[in-house]
Formats: sequence, structure tokens, C-alpha cells
Amino acid sequence: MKINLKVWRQSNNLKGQFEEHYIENVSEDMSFFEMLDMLNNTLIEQNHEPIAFDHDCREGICGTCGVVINGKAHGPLKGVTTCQLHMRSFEDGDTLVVEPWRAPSFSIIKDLVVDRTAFDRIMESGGYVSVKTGGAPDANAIPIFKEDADQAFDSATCIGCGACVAACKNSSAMLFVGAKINQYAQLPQGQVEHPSRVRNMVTQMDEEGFGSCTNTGACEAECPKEISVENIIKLNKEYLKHSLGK
Amino acid sequence: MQKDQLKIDYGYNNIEFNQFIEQHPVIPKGTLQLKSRGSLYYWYYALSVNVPNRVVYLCKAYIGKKNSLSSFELALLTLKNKYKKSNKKTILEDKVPDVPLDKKWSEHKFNMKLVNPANKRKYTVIVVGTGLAGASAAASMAELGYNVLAFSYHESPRRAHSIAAQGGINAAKNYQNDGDSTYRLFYDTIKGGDYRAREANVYRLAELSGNIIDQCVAQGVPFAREYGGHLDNRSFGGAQVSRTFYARGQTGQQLLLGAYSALIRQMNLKNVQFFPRHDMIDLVTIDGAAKGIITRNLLTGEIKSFPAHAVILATGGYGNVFYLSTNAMASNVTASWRAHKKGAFFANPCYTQIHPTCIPVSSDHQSKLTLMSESLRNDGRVWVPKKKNDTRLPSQISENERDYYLERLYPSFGNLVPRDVASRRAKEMCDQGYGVGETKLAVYLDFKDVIERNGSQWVSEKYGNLFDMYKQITGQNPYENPMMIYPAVHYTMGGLWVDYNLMSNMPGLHVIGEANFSDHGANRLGASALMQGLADGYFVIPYTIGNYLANQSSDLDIEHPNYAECVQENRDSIKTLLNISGTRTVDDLHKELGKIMWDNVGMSRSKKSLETALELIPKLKSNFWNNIKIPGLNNEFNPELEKAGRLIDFIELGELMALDALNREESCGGHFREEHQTEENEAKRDDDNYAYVAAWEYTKSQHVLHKEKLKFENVKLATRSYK
Amino acid sequence: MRFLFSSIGKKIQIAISGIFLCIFLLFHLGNNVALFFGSDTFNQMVAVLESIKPIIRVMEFSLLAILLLHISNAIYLTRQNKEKMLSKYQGGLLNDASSVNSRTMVLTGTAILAFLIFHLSYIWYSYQIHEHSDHGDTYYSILTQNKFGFLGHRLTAILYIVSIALIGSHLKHGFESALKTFGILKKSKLGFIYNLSILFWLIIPLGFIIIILCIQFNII
Repeated sequence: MKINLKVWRQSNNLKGQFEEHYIENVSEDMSFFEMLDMLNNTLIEQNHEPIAFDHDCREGICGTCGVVINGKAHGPLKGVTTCQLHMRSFEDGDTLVVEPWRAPSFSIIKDLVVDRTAFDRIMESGGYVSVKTGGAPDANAIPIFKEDADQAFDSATCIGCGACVAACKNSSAMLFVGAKINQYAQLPQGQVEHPSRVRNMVTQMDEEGFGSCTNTGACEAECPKEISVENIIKLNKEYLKHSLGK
Repeated sequence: MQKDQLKIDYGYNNIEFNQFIEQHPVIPKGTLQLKSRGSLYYWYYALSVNVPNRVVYLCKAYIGKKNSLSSFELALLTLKNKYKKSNKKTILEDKVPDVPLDKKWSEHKFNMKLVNPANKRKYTVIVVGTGLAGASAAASMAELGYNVLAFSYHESPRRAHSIAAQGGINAAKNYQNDGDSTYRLFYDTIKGGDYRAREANVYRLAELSGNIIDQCVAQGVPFAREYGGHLDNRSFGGAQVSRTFYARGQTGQQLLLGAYSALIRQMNLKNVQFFPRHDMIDLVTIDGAAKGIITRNLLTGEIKSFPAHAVILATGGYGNVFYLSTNAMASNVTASWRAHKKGAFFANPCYTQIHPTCIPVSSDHQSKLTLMSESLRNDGRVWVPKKKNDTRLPSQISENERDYYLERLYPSFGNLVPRDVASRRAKEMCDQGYGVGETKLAVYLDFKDVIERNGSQWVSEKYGNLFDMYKQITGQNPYENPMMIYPAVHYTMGGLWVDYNLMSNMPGLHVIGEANFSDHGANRLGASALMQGLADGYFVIPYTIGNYLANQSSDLDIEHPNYAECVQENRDSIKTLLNISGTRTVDDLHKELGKIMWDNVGMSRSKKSLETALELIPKLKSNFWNNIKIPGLNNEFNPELEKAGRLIDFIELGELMALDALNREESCGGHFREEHQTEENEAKRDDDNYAYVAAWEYTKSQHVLHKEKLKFENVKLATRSYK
Repeated sequence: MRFLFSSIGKKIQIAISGIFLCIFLLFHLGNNVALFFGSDTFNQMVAVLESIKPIIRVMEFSLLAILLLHISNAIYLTRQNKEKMLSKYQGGLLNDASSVNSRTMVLTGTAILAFLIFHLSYIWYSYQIHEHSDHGDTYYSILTQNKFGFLGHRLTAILYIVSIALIGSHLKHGFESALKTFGILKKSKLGFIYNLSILFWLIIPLGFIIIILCIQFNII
């Protein structure tokens, strides 16, 4: 295959721009990143700067990777991270426009690499159950409805990649926050801190500069783990409940 | 003259000094000197002969007496201790208490020294790596009150590769009432490890396994549950009981997020300071003890030292020495290896686990391998064509032209033989020319029978996500055509040597999780890696670190010259790297190393292949130092520079792996020597000569072998058989 | 009440005020249905409303306040979100997943506001000055006269129909979005409220449009 790549290049605080590369000998069985690896190898050999992009497990679970390809977060496939995207999803001769996640809360570090530590700060503001090591009761002491456990799991599958923010026209992080809130809301272990967790995480989310949700549903459609927007609706409810009931 | 007066001011007495030197003949001749740094003075001992490290730092100088010692007397005491230490012979002490197996940990916990709660925050502990082991350790120690600094080369602790574990975590809870017990889990793990693990450590791991599940449930980890609301279990290889707890196919992710939540909670309480995108590039030692680390900030290139009273490495395994493995792209051995070069022993480096069911390599551009859960072998049948170099499609090969070799060779276990056996047989088949696919390096895993028997609906419910993943990666539909699989490097049982306290031979340096060697012997059982990481982090190191710190002074000489020197050394070596500007890229050379390792130190090894590796790797090393090409600068985000630093450590490690494999003249677990096999091509152990841990010491000229004899007091050594 | 100023709080304000405005539309349509019962009935009904003017005035001011709350919060959030959008994709952001009306709320909202001003400045204003005039006009004849700004006028009618369709589009996303903001799940006990959505985005606008068409074709 031959691919025409328009890729975003940007380094330290400078204004970025697109750079075009024409790549030949792309195999259909290559992953998208293996295609970038190959390009980078050539770039280095030709004394050019390789393209920086974030990636690690390449199994679709660590949440490190993520670029926007032709206007779609994580590329054209549904429920797939960029690292699991293979070149057979494209046609010979395609032009691919590759950009980093764009959101004011995610500053660009270099080329396609962005800083997502805002997510960690939101988590820090309450995304945990305060339990000390060693003080836990027996795991079967509190039975949990299977449905509740399954729902908690569905929310917990979030890999924190940031595609929801990247795909949202408002750069809203409601899906990310909603998923975490709901994981704990479903489980008896999270209940004591639940009201303050909801308030604190929403406050932190606003402080980090994420936009508000206008229920367009773009986040759900681009989420590689297909997390439902129901998490946002539930977050609204919990927030309303625990702000008024304070 | 002025200097002499100054010395006297700080308590110097010439007569006392001469007497001291006479009393201690081990100390070479030299003079005691005062040197100023800033406004303060420090005592140094300068040797009369000109040798490397001629001037030795002793202590800070002060006027008058503190703790009834003048600074001069303290300097003499330090000098005396220095030479006492350097003359001590290294003996590997496992520190296992001499009481019955089931009493060892409780007895040891009781006997360990404690640090007063008010004093804990005066101690700084560094944790490198924030995966399962690191995050849980950092969080638990911060809860206790220690001042914890945590480092990761990721942007967030949640990205660690622990996240990729699919299957589950073992725990001897016996919720299924099927006869599980601490002893049974202990026994299975020792046996699964082919009798090459330390009994006491494994027993402790089994003992603690139940607490891990309690802890994780309390943190809100959504484990799978039954309709009654209780936790569900499934079975895994190498065990006859159902003891594996799981959260669909993402157990590792859920457990890591649990540990991550505990860690960020402590970050929020300001008990842990987290340093993202910081790569540990060296260990700082003072008088032979670990007293801090050197890091490179991956965004700015800043090289900085962080002093601490103790250092804990939780930096994972070194499977990427093979280039292609199921490890994450950034997984590396650098932290362990640089600690090793500073004096920590590296144990059993040759023990690597090869997982039999991975998606085969498709082309030269392949960057990593993907694991398909072992559970597939419950229903899939492994086969190759009976004819060599058969290029027909699988659908064109009739039933009697197929060789279901695992069922043929192991009638009773069939497709469910342990990982090492299944892997080796697959390689054997391909080596003999029966391999399938374009590269001829794959075997079929066929679900035709089970689809015919139970319907594709049933198969999709059980394995749907795995089938989807296979389809996504290969573009082939496994419901219609058999899967192609091939073994891939998955886990490394070897690592830095540690005692029962998880401390290496170097005082203050602790190693936990996959980075140490301790619990899995020569082969790890499925669902045991998560268990070990969390047991070490939550329940072992928080106790044993106190035992070490209780003996340490809470004063930390943060101005010790070793810090600045170490920073400078690393700056220089990075400069050297960037100045090479050769022609080969890092990935090129890494692929070359991977090929050497896989061909010669891979699934099966022979004297010849290992000697070949020992010949090729040094050439590769010199190729690296002469020919590597790294674009960009140090003071920017430069992934190629990161990778280059990691590659050179992999190259050196590869050499040691080959050396260790050559030394171990037996076959055990993941280490298979072609010379040592039974008539049926099974691994043949040599318990009389090799029931020891091979701990390698790094010296400038060569690696020196130290042996820790393994004592088996509770299990009887037997040959594994799966016929 | 700090929560009212958070991003979710602002949305709750928009949602509550929006629901009130929806309910107002219901009343509005209810009044207009009187047109079908002849000009006398309609005139009488308006006269009754005239007679309780103080109450109507209070209601009108409340409505105005609610409208301002709705608009000011919407402007505030939109401006904030606009800042986030400044840096979006040069390569274009493809969101085939989200509906057109969800992405055009600001546009439809602005158009509706313009329409509202137009509507009030002609019809409402005419009604207000009516009692001082002696031309013998009735409320009915004012409404249906063939003059720009009134419903007997062809172009005005088209303008009205287009605007009402935009209101339908705005309410289609707005009403459901408000329910989501209140945290009501479709599958929950209160989920049936989602079915009311059709009342606001289809039935009410259709009702208004039918009335206008009837006036145009002299059916009423």
C-alpha cells in the first residue's frame, strides 16, 4: 500500500504545522503505529527528527496511545484504540490527517504527545475509596448483586485515554468523571465518601478547564471501551442529589 | 599552617590519630584532611598512594562534642567502619527465620524492629516504578507515615504494564470448598516453578494471597460475582482447584486501578510525591548502601539526584531483551541493571517464560506480540499438517492428514500441558518444517470441533473478546479458519537477588514484584504474577522496610559528594551517547539483539547456541558504541535517547543471560538445555548440582557467580510429568 | 448554592428554565386553539386575559426572567466552550455520531430569540396598544390582517413556520437533554417522561403551524 500522511509536528511551545510524508511499501498487516515506526526509522536515517507519539502496551489497554485520524479519535473503527488499528482499515493511496488530542486541558508536549495529567488531578480529588492496607474485612463479607458488580465493571473499563475529551466539541471530561463516579456508586464500599467524591471531582474537573456537556454523545461514539453516556446522566443525578442534600 | 590550626579547632589530635592507624593495620597509610564546601567543613581521608578514589569522604566537621563525640572522633569511627565493610566477605544470607514453615512470617514480623510513628516521616523512601507492586508499596508506606517519593517513566501510574494481565489473580481463599489451602497454593507454586524457588518466600506469598483479595474488594475493584453476590472463581493451568479471581478479561487493569487509587489518595494527602515521566538512570550508593537515585526528566532532559534512606525498585521484568515480547514497548531493565552495576546481585537471569498462545509474527515490521489467554486451550485443539512444508489452506487438509501432536504426545493432559511444554513442542514442530502460515512459524489452534459441538454462539460467549482481538490484529476470522499461534516471551522469573526481607545484598536496596527473582522459581504459574506484585507491595515491604530503617540514622547527608559525582557521570555518558552519531538506529540494533537472543537463548538452549550468543553479543555491544545514531538533544523530549539508554542495558543483560544459561547444566521450567532432556524430550533437572539460585555479581572485568543453596524441607523434589 | 455555578449547575439552570419555557408553549398553544372556535370566542378569551392583566403582567415578567436566565447561562457556557473549541482540529472533526440538532443548539437558539423579538414587537405590541385605539379592530382581526408582521401576510407566515420548525429542532434536543441533566435514565421509573418529548418537538410546533396554515388558507 501507499499512504499519504499529513501529520502534525510541534515542539516546545512553538506553533505547530502539518508535515506531509509519502510512504510506500506499507503492508496491510502492519498496525498504524508500526507504519509510524517504519517512517521514523527512515526519518532518523535521513537525519530528520522522528515523529513523537505516545504508546506503550500496544494491546489496547494501557490508555497511553491516541491520535485523531481524519477527524476521528483513535481512527475510523469503533471500540478500538489507535494501537490496535491496522493498515488494512485504509485503502491504498489514502491520505491520512493525523493530529494530537486537542483540548485546552491537554497541552501538546511534542508532535502527537499530549499532557493528560489533568485526569490524574481529577482522580486525586476523590477517585478512590479511603481504605488502609490490611484493615479490610473478608472479601465475601458484603455480598454485591451481580448486576451491580457488572455495571460497576462496565464503568471501570475506562482506560483514561482522553478520546472522550478529544472528540467532544466542548472538550468535556464528563464521560471520564462519570465512569469513575459510577464505578464507586454501584458498590457498597464506595458509599461513605460518595457525596464528597462527586462534589470534589466535579469541582476539580471545572478547575482543570474542561468544557461542559451538551449531550451530543460524541464521547460515547469515540470511546475505545464503548463506555455509555448513561454514566454522564447518572453523574448529573448524583451531583444534583449530593449538592442539594448537603 | 592555617589548616592545621583549623583541624585542631575541630578536635584533631595527632597522637590519637597515629595510635588509631597503628591499631588498624587494614587501613592504608594516609592523612586526615579538612575540606570546605560552602561555609561548612568536612573530614576526608586521603591515601598516600595515588590510586582511584584516593580521597574518601568521612563526615561533616563541627566544633565541640555531639553525642559525646567530637567530629574528629566520629571521622575516625567512620574510617574504621569503612575498611571493616570493604573487607567483609559477601555471603548470601536469605534471612529466613529458623522456625516451622507456617510460623516463619508471623515470627519474623514479630521480631522485626519498628520505627516510632513520630519518626517515620523523617525517613524518605524512594519507590521506582508505580505498577502493581510499586503503587501498592508506595501507598502502604505512605499510610504508615514514611515520606515517599514515587517515580515513573509514564505520565501516570495507571499506564504501567501490570494493566495488561488478562486472566486473574490466585488466592487460597477456598471459597469454592474444593480443598484449597495455603499449603496447596504453596505446593502448586513450588512444583510449577520446577523446584527452583525459595520455600519460605513462596509460603508467605500463599499465606498473604487471601488478604490481597480482601484489600482489593475494599478498594472497589469490581471482581466477577455469582448471582448470590459472592465472588466467582475460575480454574487456571497447573492447579486442580478453582482459585483464580477475575474481572472479566481485564483483571490486571482493575487491580492496577485499585492500587493507583490508593496511591493518588496518598498523593492527595501529600504523603507521596509523584514524579511522572522520570526515568531512573542510576543508583547512588554511599558506603555500599543505597542512598538515592539519579533520574532523567523525560520532558526536559534534566538529570537530578534524589537522596533517600532506602530505595525500592518495582521496575518489572526484562522480556524486551528479545525485542519481540508481550511486554509493553517501554518495559526495560535499566533500573535493575544500573543497580546491578552498582553492586546488587542479579539472580537467575536465564529463567524466562515463553507463553504458547500468542499471535505469530507477521512481518519484519512487527513491534510487539500479543498474548491470547491460556484459557483458549481448554477448547481449542493444536495441530500441524502431517506433511512437511504443506502450503494448502487448513480447510483443504483432511482430518487424517493432521497431527494433533499435543494430544498424541501427552494423552492425559492433551492440549492443557503447562506453558513451557506447549511452547517447546510448537517450536520443535516448526523447526522440523511442519509450521504453517507464510512465515512457517506458527501452528493451528482449531475450534472447529467445539463450534460443531456447542455452536458458535456458545464459543462467542466464552471467548468472544479474544476472537475479536484476533480478528482485529490478523484480519482472519477464527470462527471460520483455525487460529494461528506461536510462543512468545511473556515473563521473566529472574531478577535482582533478594533475601526474605526483599532486600538485595546491597543494604537499603529493596526489590519487589517481577523485578526480583524470589517466588516463581524457574517457571511461573498463570495468575500468580498479580498475586506476587501485590503481596510484596501491600503486605511485605511495608513491614520489612521498617526493620531496615530502624537501624538507620534519620540524618541524611544530602550534600554527600557521591550525588553530584553520579549526576555528572550520567550527564557525561549521555553526552557520549549523543556524540556517537553513527548509522544504525536504536530499533535496528534492538532487533538484531532480539534475534540473537531468540535464536540462541530462547526456548531451547544448547552449549553451542549459548557460546554463539556470547560471541555475537560483545560484537553487537561494540557496534552499539561505534554505530548508534540518536537524533535530537538531551534537553528535550527525546524518545530515541531513552530507548538507546535502555538498549545498551539489554545488550549487557543479554550477555549475562547467556552466561547464566551456560552455567546451568540442567533443564528446569523455562530454561531448557538440549543436552539435558529425557528420551521423550522432557526437561531433566539436576537437583544434586543445580538446586541453587545463581546470583551474579558485577565486577569491571567479569561476572562472579554466588550460589544460594535452596533448602527443601517441606516438599519432596519430584519430576513433573504430564503424560 | 455554590453548585449553581459549577458547569453541571449551570446546565441545571438552563434545563429548569427550558422546561418552564416548554410549559409556557403548552399554554400558548392552548390559547391559540381558541381560534378554531371562531373569532368571537377568541376575542372573548383575549378579553378575559385582559381583565386579569395584573396577574398576566406578573407572569410575563417571570417568564422574561426565566428566559433571561436561560439565555444568559447558555451564553456563558457557550462562550466558555467556544474557548475550548478554538483549538480543535484543522483536519476537521467528524462527529457522525451526534445529531445535527444537538450540535446546532446555539444557532437554533439565536434564531429563536430573533424570532421572539419579531413576534413580540408586532403581535404582542399591537395587543398592548389595542385598548387605546378605536378603529373597531378585534384581537382576531389584528392577528390575521394581511400586513407584514401578521399572520395573514404570506411572507410572514413562511417566516413563522420556519421559526417554529427551528423551535421544534431546539426542543427535540433541549427537552431530552434537560432530562439527562436531571439525571433521569430512559430505563428508570421516570423514563416515561422521555416519551413526552414528542409533545414538545412535534405536536406543539405542528399545532402552531396548522393554525398558521389555516389562517393563510382562510379555513379559520
